Amino acid sequence: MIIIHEGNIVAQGTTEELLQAGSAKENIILTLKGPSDSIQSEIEQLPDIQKVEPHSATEQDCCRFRIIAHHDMREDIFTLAARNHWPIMELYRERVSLEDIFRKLTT
Amino acid sequence: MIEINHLTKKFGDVTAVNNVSFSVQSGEVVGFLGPNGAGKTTTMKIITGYTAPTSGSVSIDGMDIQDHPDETRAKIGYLPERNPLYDEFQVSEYLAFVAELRGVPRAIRASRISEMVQSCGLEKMLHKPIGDLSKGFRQRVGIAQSLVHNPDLIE
Repeated sequence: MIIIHEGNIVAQGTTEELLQAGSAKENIILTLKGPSDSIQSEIEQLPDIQKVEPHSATEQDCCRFRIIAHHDMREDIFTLAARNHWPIMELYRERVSLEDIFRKLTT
Repeated sequence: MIEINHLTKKFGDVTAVNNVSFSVQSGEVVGFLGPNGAGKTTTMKIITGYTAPTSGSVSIDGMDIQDHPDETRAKIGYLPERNPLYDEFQVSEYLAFVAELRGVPRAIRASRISEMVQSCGLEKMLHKPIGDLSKGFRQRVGIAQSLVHNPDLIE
């Protein structure tokens, strides 16, 4: 696959290679039941965390975050939540699609 | 194998293709993506010999397309975005015409056309004028004509 923009090649490789290059960061959306401040602070102390962005949670007594890290944090987050008895209400990885990569490169 | 080296195409002050280099290996399928005006069609037109680059070179199986235009074009099967067909021809007449133009030997011409008709599902349209065909069948005729001479390179 070759992506061209304004006469220049901006990316090339197999579909898998382009997806891999575009998703160098692991984003996780997490909703836990528990105290927001403590949870954010504990997550920020996990290794390889780049950023913890608070999002508004729709459920009572819950807090929601987008966690940006350099590697897959699911196991660390599970262990942290279990240790602190914070029930996991939601946890999923934000996947980067080929369309996302195309838009990023060409807009 | 296609080798594109430092290809640039300018239309006046506008640079449509800017120092583009890539290669395509035998058997490789390459998709060319980009927004409108990115330079995709211009690059394809240069590779197929429809337009000349401002600078840079394209070679197909080691032959430069500008030094060897006939030999390199013979290796290419091309279906442009706007599928150019002769509406007055019947499908069978058109494929025979393209096969002759493309230098398919007379001895195998009929069998080669028959193969294309079967693989493109054109059996029932064979004796219809191209002008009467649906858009989908017109595309199939376009694909058949691009493959009739068994090209090494399909674009």
